[in-house]
Amino acid sequence: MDPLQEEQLWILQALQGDQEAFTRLVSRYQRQIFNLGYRMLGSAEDAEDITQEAFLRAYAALPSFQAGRKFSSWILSIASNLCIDILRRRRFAWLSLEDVSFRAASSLEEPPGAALRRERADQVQQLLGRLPEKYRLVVILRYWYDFSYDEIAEATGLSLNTVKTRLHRARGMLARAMEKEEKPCAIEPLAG
Amino acid sequence: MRHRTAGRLMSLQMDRALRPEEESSLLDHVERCPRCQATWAAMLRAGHLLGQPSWLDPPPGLVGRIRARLPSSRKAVVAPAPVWVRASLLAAGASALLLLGLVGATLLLESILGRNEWALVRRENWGAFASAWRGVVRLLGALGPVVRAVWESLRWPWLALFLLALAAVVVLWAWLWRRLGGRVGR
Repeated sequence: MDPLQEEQLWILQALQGDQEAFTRLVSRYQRQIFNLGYRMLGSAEDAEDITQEAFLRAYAALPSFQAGRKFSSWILSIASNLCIDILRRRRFAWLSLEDVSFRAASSLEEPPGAALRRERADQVQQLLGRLPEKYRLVVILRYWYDFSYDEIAEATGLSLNTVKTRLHRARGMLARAMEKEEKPCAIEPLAG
Repeated sequence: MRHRTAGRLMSLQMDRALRPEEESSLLDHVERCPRCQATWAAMLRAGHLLGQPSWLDPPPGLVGRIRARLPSSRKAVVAPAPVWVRASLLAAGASALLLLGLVGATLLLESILGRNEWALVRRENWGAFASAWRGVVRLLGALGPVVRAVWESLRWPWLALFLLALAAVVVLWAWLWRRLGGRVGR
């Protein structure tokens, strides 16, 4: 059975009250939702709250889930809306990666390359933090989830043109931020 | 090619969404334009960084915590706003817009014509309009006391403003209810 069919089966079972089936969906997508929450909100605690809330809402709204639609797109759209709502409700204070206690606790002895990866992750998070939330979301969906324009439009409820415009503006902002930093890096050819 | 156009095309090029002729046109421009060369290089650097996303592992036990919060019945979780709330929101919004239009028209006529706000519709040139308008008003008046109150309020703009504020409160309440009541995926 392919993963999509498996998901549809789990959804049907969950609709009949099988919590174990829904838990399997949670297991499969918790990482995606947690990372979306973390990239959008910048804190592991908020990311966990968002993940829990998104799945609870998905469970409640499962009867309205359209058969044939990808569960991943649906749950990501729920989580995206939650993130946007939270960012709208409160003034956003960007947190650094050092605030992620469970990561720090588990990495007293880092494997080779871990420091470099963390530095890069920090750099990425700083880049994302410079983007307004509406631009941050499309960038995350494009780069982290490899969503096409259509999928981003579906997950965010935006038009295709708005998605393209936001990506374009976000990239422009990121490019300006990179230019200011003036970090040496090999320039790739245009077609690359 | 303008810098702004080139920037837009660069973004599409990063997603491999350009047609061959657009791509070569962009290439030509970037080769000749130092400013766009710098932008493209920076955009690539940012894309390169973002293109190797690092994934964090969710905290241990998250699935269990979510499972523990699942209600035995789905109804126990906040569900999307019911139809009557959405209907009332729509009705309140439409009423507010109607009131706003009527109050605006009244105030505008009053400011043009002084106290006699309906003088304009009594002019010969506006005879047909006045006749039609009176028909509409009679129809509205027959619809019930609320509509009649709206109509009456046209003579007293302050009352109309009060009704408008009331409608705004209803809209705000419905909006807040909807926001707090849960918003699920589109």
